[in-house]
Amino acid sequence: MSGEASSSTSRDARLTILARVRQAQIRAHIPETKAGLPERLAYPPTTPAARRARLLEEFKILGVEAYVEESEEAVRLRVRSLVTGKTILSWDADRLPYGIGEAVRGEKIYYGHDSKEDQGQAEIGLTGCQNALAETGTLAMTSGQGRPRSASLMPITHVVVIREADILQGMGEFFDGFRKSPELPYLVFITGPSRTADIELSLTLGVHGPGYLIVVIGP
Amino acid sequence: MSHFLDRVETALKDEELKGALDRATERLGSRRSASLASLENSDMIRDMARRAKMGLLKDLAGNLETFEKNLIKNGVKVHWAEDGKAANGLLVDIAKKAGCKRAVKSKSMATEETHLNHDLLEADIDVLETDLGEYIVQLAGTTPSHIILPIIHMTKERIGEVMHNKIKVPYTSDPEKLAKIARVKLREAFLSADLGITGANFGVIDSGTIVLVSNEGNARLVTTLPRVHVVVMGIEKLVPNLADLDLMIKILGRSATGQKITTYTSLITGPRRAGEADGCEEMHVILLDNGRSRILGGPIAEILGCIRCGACLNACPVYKNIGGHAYGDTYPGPVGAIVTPGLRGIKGWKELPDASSLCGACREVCPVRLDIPRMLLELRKHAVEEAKIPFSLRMGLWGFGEVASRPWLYKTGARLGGIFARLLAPDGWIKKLPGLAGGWTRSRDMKAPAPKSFQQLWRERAAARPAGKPPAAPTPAREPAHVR
Amino acid sequence: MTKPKSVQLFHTCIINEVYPEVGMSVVSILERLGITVEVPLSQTCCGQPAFNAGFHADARKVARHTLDLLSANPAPVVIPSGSCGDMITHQYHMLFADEPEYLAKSHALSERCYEFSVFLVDVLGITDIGARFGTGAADAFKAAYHPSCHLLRGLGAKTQPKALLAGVQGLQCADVHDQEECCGFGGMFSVKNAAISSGMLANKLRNLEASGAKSVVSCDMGCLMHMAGGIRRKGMKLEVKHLAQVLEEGLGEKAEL
Repeated sequence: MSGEASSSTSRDARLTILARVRQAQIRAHIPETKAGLPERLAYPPTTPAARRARLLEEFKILGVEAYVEESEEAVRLRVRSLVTGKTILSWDADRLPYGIGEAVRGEKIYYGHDSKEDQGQAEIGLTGCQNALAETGTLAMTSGQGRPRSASLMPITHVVVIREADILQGMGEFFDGFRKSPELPYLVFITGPSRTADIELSLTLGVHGPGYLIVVIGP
Repeated sequence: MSHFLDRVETALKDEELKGALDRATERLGSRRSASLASLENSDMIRDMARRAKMGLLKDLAGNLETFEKNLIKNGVKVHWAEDGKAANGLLVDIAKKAGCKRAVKSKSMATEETHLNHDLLEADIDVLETDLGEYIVQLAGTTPSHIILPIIHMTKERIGEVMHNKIKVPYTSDPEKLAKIARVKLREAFLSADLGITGANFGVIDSGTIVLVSNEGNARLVTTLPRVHVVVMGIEKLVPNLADLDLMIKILGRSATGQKITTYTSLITGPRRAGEADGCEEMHVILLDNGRSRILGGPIAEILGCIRCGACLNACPVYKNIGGHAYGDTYPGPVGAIVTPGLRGIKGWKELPDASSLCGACREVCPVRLDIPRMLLELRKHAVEEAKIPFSLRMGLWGFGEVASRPWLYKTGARLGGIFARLLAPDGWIKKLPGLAGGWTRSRDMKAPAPKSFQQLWRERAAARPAGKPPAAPTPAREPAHVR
Repeated sequence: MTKPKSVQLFHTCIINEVYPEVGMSVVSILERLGITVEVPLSQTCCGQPAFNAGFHADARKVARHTLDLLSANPAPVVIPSGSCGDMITHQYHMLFADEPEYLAKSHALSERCYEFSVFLVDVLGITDIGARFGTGAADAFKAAYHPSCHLLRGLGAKTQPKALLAGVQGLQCADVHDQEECCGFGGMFSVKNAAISSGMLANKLRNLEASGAKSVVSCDMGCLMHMAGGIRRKGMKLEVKHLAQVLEEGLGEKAEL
């Protein structure tokens, strides 16, 4: 798919708008901003244990159900206990850590290539996660082959498996990892279950996305 | 359209609205303070975010070109619209060319501004709002009244009635049940939609990324399920890079709802890639001017740094009293009082910048420290230059400059005014003032000027005092004062 | 800075015409602290009413007069109003943005302009001037401090008036809900947008009443005149007082008039 300005009206509009903006910015009164600020935010060093503790603390505030498992086998058991008997919408088996794909074999599972209607039947989404961000209790998920976006979005429950080593302090550190990469993948930062307070400020979970977020942290 | 002051009177009579506004603004306001207090270096982060926003405005044209180039590189089709009509026309064209008939939308101020839904329906394209609040607004046939909480003005009972009447579901006023009904109804719409329409919270210049935040997840569904995704965004909604985006995200959620970060923050960098199972196949960005370039060239250019968090609404005592609808257009509250006359022109909107006591609460809470009172003053000045001023006010201020720069004339005028006023007020208080000043005595008595001015008292004291006596008494040691 | 021996008083229009006794209290407090007070008699108004209404040309005429007058005397300027103080120290810069001569003058003058409470606390370094009420905690005089918007957010003086009140023995500061919210005065706003202004005032008076205070104390007679008008209309019991009046009363003897 090649990107380009579409219609001729839009092309004319482009020239007009850019010319107007150029004219305007010559005489624009943009206020001066505070001097002496650092170029970028600095991140004080943290330890893995501190990051994990902070992440769990934030999860608690957000209402995220979290399990910390000491072994790979324990992770598989935990996940199996969470999903057994349910219809699952999963990342491809080879995209899940700890051999979880094998561990849940035999359950009713849909994948990204199934129809949206089928995917819509799933009760549980099962995914991995690129990184977790401790200071906000956030899961940073990228999508790609075998890692559909729908799995973390459509089912009412989302089960995420992350490695303790993938817990970062915050979003700034996470973005630093992309500074040299030529293009960004699709990214979503997930922080707690889907929520709304639109009706008289009363908090309701799971209005569009998952109402239950369960995180299993493995070694 | 009705006059601003009439809309204000209507709003002020609405007790239900007042209660809702009090609860919501107080809750959001206190959560905001607590949340920012827990952010380390929050003042510096706000300063840095302001620097990023102001900095990019200095070469907005160059930044737009870079942003466009990077979008195109990512496989996005880029369109430009001078005004709302043009943006809607482009969107209809895109939909027709792609054969789209059913659109789902996530909350977007830009498309509210262009009245997109009207033009889509006219072109036979179904469109459904999917943010819970916006969905109910659409069902009820009204407009949102708060940037973050669109139906802050509706009770749960009224929402239940709207859903019962419009989509034929059993009546309930339980927020959880209402939300569940919406989830089911809207999920069907998501699955059948072929066009997703969103705004953009930010456009990251150097990666060509569209950033969307939402708490419900509807923005994710809108951009994941339909095969075509169209973004309509104002040309000012940029941030230079991901490090700056980090700053914005840190302050946006905290300022808006008091969350450390909104539940979902999506970074969409082009349509779905080879091998991906979902995401749109075709992605378009419509860059909307609609008066923004004019704003940039004038004294309120600073408002283009607004990140639409809504914190100024919750802090504003005027908004708390009158709610969002009284502002008469897409953007309510202090930000609306600047953006609306900025986008639409001061003619017809000059009441908005006037409707502020200049208390500065908005400036205090603005995450990017926009000097909103200064901009209100600029717009008032502009209105005086451009628009007609009510005769009574013109008379009231006419000659103020001439008189008040001539001490003798000024004092004589003030004393004469005082004598006249005291005639109206034998007990020192005036109960009813004529003309425009009658606004005061609507709810307040007016204290009449004192029989002797301060300067008279001062001169009398000087005359009574023997020359050469030092005026200053030494500070007395603490001694008991009379008991009150 | 070294403690000044004398100051010029910019008494403001409202004090001159409506509340002259407040001006006398300000003088009394300053003189007790050993400061000679000069009152430039040809002062008029700072120009804020015209400025806020958008009539910048008119405001500039008045502001030039004020700048010329106050700049002629090197003594610091004391202004018993956060609002007029903010006008002179900040808004003049905007008013004279395109007039280099007066812009320079306004910057120079703003360096030595002080709102009354700021002058006492920041320049003189005083928070306790020896004022007291009653004989003990039991019969403490309960007052509600109202931070005027232009003092609080315009001049950024959050702590100074509170420190002076805290220094008054036997005065108890009442907790007021939404204490920092505007009373709805806003000059011409109270007339042009009377309905909104009245709504804001009603909230403020409700919160003040609920605080149980006997008096509402502020550093701006504009806000106090506004609240007093509402208090009187509603038949409430609350008194309004400028901070200088509270301090003077607490010292137990009237200024020498």
